[in-house]
Amino acid sequence: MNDQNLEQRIRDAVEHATPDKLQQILSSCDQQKGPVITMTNPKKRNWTAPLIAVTASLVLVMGGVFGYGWHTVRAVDSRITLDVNPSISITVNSKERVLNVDALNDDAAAIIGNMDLKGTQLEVAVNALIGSMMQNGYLDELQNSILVSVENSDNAKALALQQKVTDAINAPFAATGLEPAVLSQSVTDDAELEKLASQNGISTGKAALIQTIMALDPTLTAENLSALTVNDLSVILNSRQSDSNTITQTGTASSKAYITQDEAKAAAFAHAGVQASQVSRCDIEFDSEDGAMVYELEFFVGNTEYEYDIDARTADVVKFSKENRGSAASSGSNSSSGNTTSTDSVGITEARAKEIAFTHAGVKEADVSNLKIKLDYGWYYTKYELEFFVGTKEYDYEIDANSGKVLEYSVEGNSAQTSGNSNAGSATVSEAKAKEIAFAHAGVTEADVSGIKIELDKGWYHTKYELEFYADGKEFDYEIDAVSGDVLEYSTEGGVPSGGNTNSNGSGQITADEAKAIAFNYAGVTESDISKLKVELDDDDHRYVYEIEFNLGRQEFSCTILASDGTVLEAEWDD
Amino acid sequence: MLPERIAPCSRDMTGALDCWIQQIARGEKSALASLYNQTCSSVYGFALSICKNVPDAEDVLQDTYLHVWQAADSYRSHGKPMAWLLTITRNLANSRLRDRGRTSLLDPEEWLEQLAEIPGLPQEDRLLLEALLGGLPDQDRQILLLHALTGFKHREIAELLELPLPTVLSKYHRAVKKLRTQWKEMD
Repeated sequence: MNDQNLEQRIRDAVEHATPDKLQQILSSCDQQKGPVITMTNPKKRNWTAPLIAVTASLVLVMGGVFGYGWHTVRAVDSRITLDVNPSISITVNSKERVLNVDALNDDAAAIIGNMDLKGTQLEVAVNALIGSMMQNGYLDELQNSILVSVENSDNAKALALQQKVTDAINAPFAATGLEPAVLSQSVTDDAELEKLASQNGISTGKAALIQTIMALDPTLTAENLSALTVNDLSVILNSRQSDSNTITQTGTASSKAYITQDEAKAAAFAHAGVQASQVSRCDIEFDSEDGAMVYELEFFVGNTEYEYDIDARTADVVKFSKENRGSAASSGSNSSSGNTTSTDSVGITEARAKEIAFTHAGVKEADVSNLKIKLDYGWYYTKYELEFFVGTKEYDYEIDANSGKVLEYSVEGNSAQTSGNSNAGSATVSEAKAKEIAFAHAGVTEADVSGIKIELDKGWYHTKYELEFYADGKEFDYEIDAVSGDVLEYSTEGGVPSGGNTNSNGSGQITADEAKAIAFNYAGVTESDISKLKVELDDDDHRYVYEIEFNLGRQEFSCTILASDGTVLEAEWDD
Repeated sequence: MLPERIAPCSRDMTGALDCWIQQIARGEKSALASLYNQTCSSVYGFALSICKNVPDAEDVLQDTYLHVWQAADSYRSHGKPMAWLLTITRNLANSRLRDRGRTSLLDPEEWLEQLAEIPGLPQEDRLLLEALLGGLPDQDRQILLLHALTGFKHREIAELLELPLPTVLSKYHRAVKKLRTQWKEMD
């Protein structure tokens, strides 16, 4: 059993032995004095706008009046979430007084600022928060949409609160001459919704809106939509001609930030080299692409179908493809696709894609069997998909056919099971690279190494490769950060580390015999008195230490000695 | 009344723990539940490694989260929420040891009895825990458990236990070897 297996066994055993005390803890919390509820105050701001100054004064006064004794009515009756781009959760009691205002993202923390809204009426709090969003530039003529999501088990009350909050939002807008677009909905506690919100780091209210949009257009993805503002989502919702009865809308979402449909068409036609007069059956609607608003166009010129994504703010061509739908369609000829950096042909050859994958995997082509490779014209990337075996390990790779970048890879087999995505926080350093780093650090070459074991360990803080190998009669253990490639920890057993592995002391350290002599002197024994002597040199990036253990009768002595000068760092006798 | 629900927290573990503690400071019991579910094994294992007594470790487990509930508003994030939590655990466990005036290992028979009383604990887990709790010196056991349960690096364990790094290293390696040997003997 290696160290990792042993630790896994320990984790399993402790997990199985851990009692479930959660309910007792939560019950005890109720019996205790609750924690002091404080508003976070991430950023101080000047309250200069008259509108906000008035509201803030009101808030402070109301907070003073109702602050006393409010703990007696702490039960949460309703939760209201306001989403613009800042996302704010407001909980209120049955009398619609504010219990808590929580920032659900960084933008919201700036909006709440130093306002103390506890104990105020809901409308007052909404008024203050919307005013602050206007003051901070989150609501203006280009972005005027607000999503109101109300959670209350009583549907009638939820609807009444939606109306009340919508009215409260309209009030600060009235003074500016702008008209808000308010989308309001009731949400219920739902595991799927919670998961969608949690996975995308958004509020459940925004997740519910995205669910509604995706029901109208299943080609849209939650990942893409989550990055959009509520105004963008509102525009997409409207473009899908929503007759949703779950969302009530007042006002019209601003589209002033976007180019017009005609401008988008002109950009696409120019790129395709066609005239508007040649075009038939042109469909255009809003869509999202990598978190940006785009116009998605489909049109025909003769038998050729064109698809374009045009950036809705800049008119840049984000993506395009064309396909012959005429008599030749059955043979699939004359098909091409790309993005703004690609052309009809791909940037790298099949041979180069193989080379990239094999290098990344640290394998030689001669060792590879059952290789399958195909070029896939995907939506985001034109990519090579490779599948191959080395021994019993199966490798799957996706290589960007234009840049040669490894988009995704996975390894399965009787060795370490790994997978990765070159853009994610998981392993970005290949197994081969981890070995290279460890060998270089240890001052050995791969030819010197035997018995290598490597595993990818997704730990609490680090995703790391754990390597164990033998060279020059010594055992080396390494931990290599699988994201940064840093050497996290390493140790050597069986002798003094050689070559470049003497970064902290190199020459000038005491010998193992000298260390033994120091230990014997410290323990007051001679070598003839003792048994089971072990001497090991270890290190942890900073300094080398000798770990010495021996038995004297039934007692065990162990000590740690600094290899650079012989200092006894720690010593103890165990019975 | 609505069930309490936490706001979305970071998918990064340290960020999530930080976020939950901040939500606990605002009275969100659901955040306390999330924190508990994510960390209870580490807290219990660490408590057990100090107390060497199952009932005491269970009490420390409970007291740790009640302390978090009361003290979360004093938490200042330095990117080490787990270290903060385990410092609370360590202090409560040491305090319990002091209160009882008990610092030595229990009689092995008491151990066997306590571990055997844990409902549903597989025999191989019980044997491993016996070896851990009965066969290793106190600090060695704490270091090994922290390394196994929290994924802390030796440097972080040294900081938490206020020990020199080489000491932690040597004790860790020694603990692994001893436990492995004992495990082989038990097999």
